Amino acid sequence: MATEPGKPSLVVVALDAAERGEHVIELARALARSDTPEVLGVFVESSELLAHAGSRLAREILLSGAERALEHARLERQLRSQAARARAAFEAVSARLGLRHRFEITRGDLLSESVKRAGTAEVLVVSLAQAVAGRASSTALLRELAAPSPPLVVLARHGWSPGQSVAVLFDEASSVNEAALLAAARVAIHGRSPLTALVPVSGDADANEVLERVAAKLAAFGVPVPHVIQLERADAAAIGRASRACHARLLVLPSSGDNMGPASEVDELMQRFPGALMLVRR
Amino acid sequence: MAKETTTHSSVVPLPADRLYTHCDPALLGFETTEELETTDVVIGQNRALAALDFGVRVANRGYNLFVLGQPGSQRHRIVEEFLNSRSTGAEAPFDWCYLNNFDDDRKPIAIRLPAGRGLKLRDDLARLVDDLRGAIPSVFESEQHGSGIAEINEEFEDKVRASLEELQQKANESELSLVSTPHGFAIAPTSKGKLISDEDFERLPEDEKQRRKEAMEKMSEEMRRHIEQLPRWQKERRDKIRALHRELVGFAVDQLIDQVREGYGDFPRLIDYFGKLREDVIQNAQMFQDDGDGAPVAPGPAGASALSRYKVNLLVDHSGDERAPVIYENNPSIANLLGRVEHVAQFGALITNFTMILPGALHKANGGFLILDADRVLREPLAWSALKRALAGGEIKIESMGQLMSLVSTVSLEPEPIPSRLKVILIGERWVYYLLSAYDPEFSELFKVAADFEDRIDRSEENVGQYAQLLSSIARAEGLLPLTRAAVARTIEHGARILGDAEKLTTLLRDVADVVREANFWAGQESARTIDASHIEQAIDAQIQRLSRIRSEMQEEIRRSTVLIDTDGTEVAQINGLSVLQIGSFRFGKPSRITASVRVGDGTIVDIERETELGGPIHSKGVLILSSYLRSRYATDIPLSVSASLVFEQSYGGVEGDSASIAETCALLSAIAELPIRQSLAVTGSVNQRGTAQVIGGVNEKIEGFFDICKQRGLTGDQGVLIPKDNVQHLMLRRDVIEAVENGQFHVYPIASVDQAIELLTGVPAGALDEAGRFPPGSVNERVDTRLRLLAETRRQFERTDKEKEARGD
Repeated sequence: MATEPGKPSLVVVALDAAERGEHVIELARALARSDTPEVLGVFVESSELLAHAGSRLAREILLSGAERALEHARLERQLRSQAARARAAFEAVSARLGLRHRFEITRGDLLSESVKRAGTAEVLVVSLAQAVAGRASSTALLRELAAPSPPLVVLARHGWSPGQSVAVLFDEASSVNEAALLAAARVAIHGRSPLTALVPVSGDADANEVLERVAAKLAAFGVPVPHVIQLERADAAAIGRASRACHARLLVLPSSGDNMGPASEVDELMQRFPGALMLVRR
Repeated sequence: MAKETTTHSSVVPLPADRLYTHCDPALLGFETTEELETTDVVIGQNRALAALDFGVRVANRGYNLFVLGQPGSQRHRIVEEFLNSRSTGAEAPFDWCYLNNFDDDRKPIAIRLPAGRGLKLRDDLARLVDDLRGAIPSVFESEQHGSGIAEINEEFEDKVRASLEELQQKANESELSLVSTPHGFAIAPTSKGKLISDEDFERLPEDEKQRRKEAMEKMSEEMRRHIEQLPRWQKERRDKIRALHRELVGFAVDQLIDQVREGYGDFPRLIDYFGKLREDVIQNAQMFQDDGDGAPVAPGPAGASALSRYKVNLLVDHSGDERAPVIYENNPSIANLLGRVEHVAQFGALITNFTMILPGALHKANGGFLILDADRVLREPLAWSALKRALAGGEIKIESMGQLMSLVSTVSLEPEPIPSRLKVILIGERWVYYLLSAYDPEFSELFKVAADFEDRIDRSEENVGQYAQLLSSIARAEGLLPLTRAAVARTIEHGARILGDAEKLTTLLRDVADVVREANFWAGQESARTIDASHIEQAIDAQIQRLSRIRSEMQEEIRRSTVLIDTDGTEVAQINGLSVLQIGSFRFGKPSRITASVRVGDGTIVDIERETELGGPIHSKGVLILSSYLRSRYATDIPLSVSASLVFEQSYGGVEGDSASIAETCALLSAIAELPIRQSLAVTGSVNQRGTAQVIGGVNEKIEGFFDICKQRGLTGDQGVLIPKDNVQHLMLRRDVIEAVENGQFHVYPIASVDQAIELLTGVPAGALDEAGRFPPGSVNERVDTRLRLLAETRRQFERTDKEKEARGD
């Protein structure tokens, strides 16, 4: 673990211009092992967007349907205004949850800036609610995550709040399978949420035996009534379908650096799954 | 001992037993009223009861009643008891409820239900809301709801994402970059995945630049189409969520509502209401979500639950009633009659809802009887008009005074009017009835039945017995000591004295009952076990004592000769007249000196009271009548050549009534005939043109008023009062007066004419006309006739001398 025993853990919450991040702070707190984690909010002003504003040819189509030139000065003002609002919202939620907190504003790429600041953090939460297809591609993501990163990385298109269902993928091939189950169990217990294990079972295995084993593991982690669903395949489509079936709002995936496992399907899962994705790295 | 009085009159003074009509206790047939049964008998009001009976039984509109009678006549008690007896056994009227109008909550709907069903409806709906508060949150918490909502949201997000992906794809194909901005999207040309700088773009061939610009235009158009679709997709999402709610909530509530609706299948308006309630519950299902403490999330007005819209305002509840209501409203303001809509202040604004509608007396009495005091209704602003509108229109419409006078602009309710079917009984004095009949055309249309309560009843044996029973009932009801039969007899005598009529009894039982209550106090002071006649006497005396300060002062002024009244000797043209003063509820008699003066004149008799505007019209009429009597009686063949004046000496207030007209006539005759009048006598009575004595009021008080003065100065046996003979039937004189008469110390003379009066007053025969048309020589009338002729001759000579002087040119 990145945190030393007895020291408060660090949770990094990365926000882009489209998000204010209230919905992910609760999740970050639930994931932190320490009862008094420090939360670092990082507001990333997209360098890509700013680069567009530098182009005389760039056009902005507003949500009202109007069209205008993408002026650099105006964009700067808008970003400053958004950062201020994001800071206010972040600080209000952190204060309500009783969390120590800091807030930084930086400029660059959301993922790389997040990872850069999350070197010693226990949890990295990246708010991607408005991530336009292509911007947060799996390729880019995996490239960034291959670098040293926190044990838990959450990619949140939507938030998660206590009481909402949690699903975890059981992947015996992954070295972080146990860690993923444990992280999912911790969140479920914290939020008093239903927990469902999605268990792919190959053709020659005894399905019942596997399912019972998974249920026993979760029970051992303190989950009162764990549910277990058998998957025929471990691809993004099957995982997405099963997650929806159990109304999960948080999907936990084992995804170690050496064996990305289904993380190769993260990009597609992000499109298919309407909640938050949590990648367990260590 | 009786003293011989010197008169030349045939009029015999009344014996003592004609001065007071006793009630013989021996005829009452009981020792104390304890032996009598309690009764609610109504004495002598058969005419009024028949009218009440008629008015109550006629069902047509407009047959409301007006009960005429004096205060204290037990009108309220009698009317209430009568109506209660009529309403017993009658079917209880309908319950009335106000319910929320889901189409327009400013206009609550009125629902009529059989007696007792209103309460059940209120309980049923309260239970329904409780059940819905359990059932609806369960729907929202159900997996079916959660997955349904998630599915709808995902469908929406998928659409948006797919559209964005498509746009992104097109952008890539067109070598354009597409990124989000805080307020929308931005596009820019790229080359090999990187933005083209302005300089590089300028270096592109013109056709390439043009192609890129067109691609940008096309992409912008695509983006706009995408953005334009967003509101439609969001609306579709909302519609789907609404439809899901309708489906799930509808399923959950239908069963609950149907259970309630089953009990009201025979009330079409309620069935319609339940249908609208169902729709409203589904539309506002989120109101049933709890905040965790059991309170609804959505607040209602004034901190009340928003769910109060499903309550029942049970305006009139007749549960358990087995008869038509009889309601007496003693404060008939417009709000108390028509009902009102209350408001509460919330954040500086006055707000209300249908649960704040309160019933009025008309609602409570609907289907039965409403008793009102006419004068109170008339005194309350707009109440009379409102009552008439309700009766004429046949419906009760709640209107506030502020609304009627356009003083209030606060948004309020317009509750649906409630049909009215009731009898209104107005109770008032006669003058109120007569004024309304004369000046309010609607009154006669709406109050067609008059029940006129008698003020007096015959003092018959039967009525006396019933009077005794009533006194017994009053004593028992109010916890008074029982009355002995002597006390009852004395009370009945007092009932006659109040009226001033020995042959009648008052129906104004309030005054009689007051005497009994006060007698009970005096009996209690003596620790007596019964109320005896002496206690009644004490109570009457104490009442008089408490109220007689002014009488005492006036008598003292006479005693001290501040006010001049002679009670002995004789005087020409001066007579003792008698008047009655009423101060509050106390009446007493007071002697007044009346004088006359005469001289040669043109036949004018001047009423000084009238000239000074102190005399009322009836008094003036009396003086004119006596003038006419004089003209028609004496020297009718020559012009009346006297000028006379009459005055109440030392009278500084108004004089009204004609009861002094005999006295004034006698004073005038004395002045003309120059005959002295006995000052030991006083006279009361009115006169007509023929000289006949006519009945006057307050005869007892007048006699007692002169008696008191005489008694103070010492009774001589020569003193007395002349009264019209027809007033003898009214005599109920005080015991001390009767004792004085018994002892010959005082006399009451019943006279039939002016002649009898003047004989008594002068001691000279009046004299009747003989066949030759002449009065007997030396008689009063002969002297009057002679003097008038003398005055006429004097006047003629005076006029002749004047003409001669005129002819001579002096």
